[in-house]
Amino acid sequence: MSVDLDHPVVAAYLAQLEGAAVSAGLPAGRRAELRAEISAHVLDALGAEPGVTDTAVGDVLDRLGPVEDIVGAEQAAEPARPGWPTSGTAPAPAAAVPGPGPWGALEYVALALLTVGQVVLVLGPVAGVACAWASTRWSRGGKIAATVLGLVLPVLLVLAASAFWLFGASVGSGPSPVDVTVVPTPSPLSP
Amino acid sequence: MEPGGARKVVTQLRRGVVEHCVLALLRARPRYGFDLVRELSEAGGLLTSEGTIYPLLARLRRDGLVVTTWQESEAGPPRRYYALTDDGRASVVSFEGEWARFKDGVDRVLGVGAVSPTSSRAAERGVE
Repeated sequence: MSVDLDHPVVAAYLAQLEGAAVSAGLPAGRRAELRAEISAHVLDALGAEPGVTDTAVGDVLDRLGPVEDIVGAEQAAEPARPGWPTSGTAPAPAAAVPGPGPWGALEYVALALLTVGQVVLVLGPVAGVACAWASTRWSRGGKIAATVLGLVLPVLLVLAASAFWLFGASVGSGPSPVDVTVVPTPSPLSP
Repeated sequence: MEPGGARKVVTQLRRGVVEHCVLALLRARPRYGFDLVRELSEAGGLLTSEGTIYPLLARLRRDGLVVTTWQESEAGPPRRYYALTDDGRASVVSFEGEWARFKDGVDRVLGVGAVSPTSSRAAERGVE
């Protein structure tokens, strides 16, 4: 009996491998390499068998192991990438503790308090900063930026406004440097 | 330790050392995947699932310990051959030293607690 990669059991195994690799998020290039290596292995192993039978095909695939084991080993060997578990065979379920990622309600409340909440002097920005530091989704840098936005920036704006008002008042009381008084001078040709 | 704990320890040991065994096999000459699997299997089942050697080989390649070339085979599809790099060779040498120390240490400790047949019989006579 001639056996090649079109053998239904081998084809099914390779299809399972591809499916598991896709589910695990293996890059297309690595999936193709893995398929080529496993295919060559199957043909080499069957070539080493005294007689190629369905039983021999089954034995070769059994020794190769479940496709989940192969993909799991691939994940364990691969440098960590976002969305990949560090071990196991399937992508990890969503983490119970939210990490960096899309904003949640707390982050939107913090943003509202830090911007619109400025109308409630002191209380609004302070509450906004508190919400920002309570967030598990914002990075430390983001929280520092929120603190600057909520507390430091308003103070700086007030200082700047005060300085402008004082400077502007002093300028308005003195002569303008661009004021030019045109004084008519008599022409030597004039009578 | 629970019954069967020894088997678990050996499984973990096997996982830890198999990559160095692969590198050691490549010292003599470049080999392809199935060739490596056959050697490892004959050496006492160092691989539980033969297919897991390919992710391992991919990692060794990424780590710069092996390089690969595809070569035509006389029968069948092209084969990917793995060859040791200088870093890979150095890694094997380093592991050999570490393994020898580890093995000697474990053997010595196991030997301390071992009961020889002679002393066991003498103990039985003492009871009588």
